[in-house]
Amino acid sequence: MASGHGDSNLIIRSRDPSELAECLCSGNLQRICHVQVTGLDSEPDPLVEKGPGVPVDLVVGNPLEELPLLYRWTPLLTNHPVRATIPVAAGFSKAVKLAVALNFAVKLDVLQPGPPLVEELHRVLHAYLHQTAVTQPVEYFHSLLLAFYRRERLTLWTVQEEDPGLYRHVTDDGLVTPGRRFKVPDGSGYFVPEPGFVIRECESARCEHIEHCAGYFRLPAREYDCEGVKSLFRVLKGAAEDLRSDLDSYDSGSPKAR
Amino acid sequence: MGSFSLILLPTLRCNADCDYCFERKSEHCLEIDQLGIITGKVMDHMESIQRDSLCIYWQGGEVLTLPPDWYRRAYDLIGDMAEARGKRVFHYLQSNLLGYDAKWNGIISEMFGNSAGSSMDFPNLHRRLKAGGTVEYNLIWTRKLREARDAGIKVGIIAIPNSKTLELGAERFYSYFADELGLSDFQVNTPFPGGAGGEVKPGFPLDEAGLGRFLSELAEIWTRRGLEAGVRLGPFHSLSEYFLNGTKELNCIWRDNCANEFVCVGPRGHVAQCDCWVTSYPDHRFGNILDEGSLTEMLRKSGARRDLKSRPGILIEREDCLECEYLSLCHGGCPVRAFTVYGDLMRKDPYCGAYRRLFQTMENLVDSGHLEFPARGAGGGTQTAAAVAPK
Repeated sequence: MASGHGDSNLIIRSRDPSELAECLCSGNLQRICHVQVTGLDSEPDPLVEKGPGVPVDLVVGNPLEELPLLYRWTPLLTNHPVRATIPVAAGFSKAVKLAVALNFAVKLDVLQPGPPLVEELHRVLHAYLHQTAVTQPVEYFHSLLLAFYRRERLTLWTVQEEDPGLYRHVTDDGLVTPGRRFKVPDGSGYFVPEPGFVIRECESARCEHIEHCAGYFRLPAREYDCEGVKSLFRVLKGAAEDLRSDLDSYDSGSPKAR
Repeated sequence: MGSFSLILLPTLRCNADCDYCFERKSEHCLEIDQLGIITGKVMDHMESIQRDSLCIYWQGGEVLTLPPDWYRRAYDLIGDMAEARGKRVFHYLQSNLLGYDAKWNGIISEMFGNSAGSSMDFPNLHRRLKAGGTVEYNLIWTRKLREARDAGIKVGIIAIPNSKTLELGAERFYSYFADELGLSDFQVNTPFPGGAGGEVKPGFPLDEAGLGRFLSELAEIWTRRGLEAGVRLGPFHSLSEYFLNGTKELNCIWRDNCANEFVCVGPRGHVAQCDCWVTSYPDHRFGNILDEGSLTEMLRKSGARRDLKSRPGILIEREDCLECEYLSLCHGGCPVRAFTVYGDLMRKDPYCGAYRRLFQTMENLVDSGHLEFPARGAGGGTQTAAAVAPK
């Protein structure tokens, strides 16, 4: 299947680590950005030794049911950077806690969270920002914190690897799609992402986070109330400002920082 | 490419008769040609899991009951095999030092980098000579320690607290090792009732709250007195590194899964997770490396190893580890401690409460600024076998 995509860089996914291990031996290594394991109930052994250095993304399906399975994937860390992609669904914070405890980076797979999930996201964000035990990046928080700190322009589309200008999702049937955010509401297909069409709505709403969100949370349901996720942006921005202020006062040798 | 760790027990013969020992002793010793077979299979396994260096932790029994010449031949054999296969090997020695004298200096220097790990308790209630008591043991051990250090050997000590240790308190304990013995590298391990029962074993595990208090006080004493003086005291040193820098170079009891990290091989070729399992719990062995064709296959097929590998995931569901703020440091603790106390591998470490108190203390010491970046010039320390094994 990989050969059907020209010179594009590839993210290869499979439930079966043996299949992924084969890909890593097939001469495609230069084109492979990372591999995704979608079945955590399999055994990691075939993948542990193959393609050293190639990042492995462990895609968690059900965070509460699958979290004990994360333990079996730690041997990958010997030869690979490992990330756990965890869906923001009820109880996901427990899977995040375990993943970072195992030294896995984390990517939060977030669609349009309702108030209970926003509350859980706040708990995870607090842990990411303040707990000594969290030494791994938790995306999208990590990249946004750095973007706020460095005053850089960076959108969630890029951070979350969902920018339709950069990424295409190939379904199990071989259909090339712009990704699940562009699915039409009845699930019958995908609409073509028109650059800027959701951003215009954000602009008209005078959203303060347009530079980093860029309409990411306006899809797929256009009527989604963004207030909850905006509160997360505000915490991140505040943390970045605090960090900058701390480092500035440290650099200037003020007694406060010493 | 990382390293593979092997705890190797070349003999279960011992010149001491400690009444809390968890090993079932025997006179059997590993033959050099058997060592060649074991080394070959271990290196085959390293190739299959892509590891380029091997750390061998030599333990017994008592390792110095074999003659220096045996180690000379072992060192040459392993070195030749490693060179032929492009591997690096690092050797670490754990000995009670009772059999130490000057004839060991050459091989300890060459093979073990002039370092050795040993053990002593304060007060010593349980370490005895075969034909003597604890007092005689202390006298001989202290003399041997001095002789080894005079010969330039760096000796790191493992101490196991007992009920009297908790009674006397952390200050006395610290003073004994740091001031009386003048040690700058020692470590506290926790006791467990492994192996055959005995009069002492019902005293284990120690009172969890008392142990927690002791460890917590010892952490504060070390911070106050030892840090500046360059004393490396485990596990406090590695915990301070964790809370300061996020580095996790913790004892085996606090790794996410020890079954991914090392194996132990006994003098008859039995393979298990660590020395207590090899010597005292035959049902929990993985197999026999001398009998089986491939270590990799043996490990892959072993039900006992599968149980160990599944343990942390099961603890997450059965115990309260997921609620613990120190999950990333502990992961439910040591399987052999759980098994020997509860008879159930799938329980968390019986010293959970003591560990949590210690972690909390260390974190508070860092947060309050009492613990700052420890001087890295404090010396690299002696890597004792207990870095990987719960002896």
